[in-house]
Amino acid sequence: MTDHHLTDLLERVAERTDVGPAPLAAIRQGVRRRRRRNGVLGGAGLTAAVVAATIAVPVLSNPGREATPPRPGTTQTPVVSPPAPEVRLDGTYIVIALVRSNGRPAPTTYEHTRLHMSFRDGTVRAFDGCNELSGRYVLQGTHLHWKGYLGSTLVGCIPGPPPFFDRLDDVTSVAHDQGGTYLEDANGKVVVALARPDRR
Amino acid sequence: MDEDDFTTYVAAQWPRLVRSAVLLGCSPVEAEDVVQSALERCLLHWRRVRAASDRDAYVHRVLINTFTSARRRRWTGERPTADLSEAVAPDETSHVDDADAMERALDRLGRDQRTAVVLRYYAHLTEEQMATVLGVARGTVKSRLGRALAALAEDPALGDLRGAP
Repeated sequence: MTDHHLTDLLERVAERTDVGPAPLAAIRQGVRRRRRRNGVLGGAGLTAAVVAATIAVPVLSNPGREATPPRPGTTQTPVVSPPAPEVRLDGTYIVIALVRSNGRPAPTTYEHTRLHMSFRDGTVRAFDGCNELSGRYVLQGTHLHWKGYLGSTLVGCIPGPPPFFDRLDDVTSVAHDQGGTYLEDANGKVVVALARPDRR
Repeated sequence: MDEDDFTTYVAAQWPRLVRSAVLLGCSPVEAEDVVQSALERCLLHWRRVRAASDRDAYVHRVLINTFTSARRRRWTGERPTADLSEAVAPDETSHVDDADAMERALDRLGRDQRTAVVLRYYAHLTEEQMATVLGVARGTVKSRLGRALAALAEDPALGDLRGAP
């Protein structure tokens, strides 16, 4: 039996399955549901994650990053918060904490390699211990915007590396204090905590 | 832009992805569920899919992972068997065609070998792409394909096809 014959047989088996039109609306609805679920779980579970990360990673316990109660007559929404100081992203950082979308901490090493990322002249690069990611970014004040697409290599790794690159999609802002640099999501939740290599 | 690109891709590839899932061992209904779930995962990170050097390989990797996860979760209580314990009706399909034989032969392959055959000979991925999709070394892909082809060559259901061009 030749390769061509095998392909032909598989095509004939496959053609027996009647396939309807692609359920595009259902797929989009499913994505909205997943995003909502991730958001809810992220919000509910992040407290536990931050507690865990605080224990495991002392740098996260810096008082400057702890939640402060709102002053009377003010809210915590970013819209009315006083403008945050400008932050800089420049050079190489190691990942000292990574929070999954469900709020749980994820490993920051893979195969004995520390996750790390670098920012230079509008170009971001990241390494999850297995694959490399690169792309462009714009930092305006504290708002971090990925410009275009973040492309990554596609090396297959077993077991899979931490969900580092997936989580970068959720990053929208940067914060900085004495403890390190924090990439945060739209709700101000820490997604990735970074530190300079020489600080660890 | 992303949405348009995704729509175009899915409209073109949906039938083939569903049929790939069927060949991997899903029922037609389960295949549509698995592919829909895989495409939701892809759409969540579509800009990464677009940026991937090989989009089809990326989507197939998500599909295989979704299929594997679904199989881990689902336990139907059924066990595959080569022979039925008793005949409940006369066999009206004595004149099985080649596709029937192929379908049964696929059912007798192990999961890894079956996946290798489908990815190589239906999805037309290269061995290098398969290594990426399956997360194994290229040599492992070669050996799985080799064993799968040897098993198909020995399969009694495909006996009539031996020596076919």
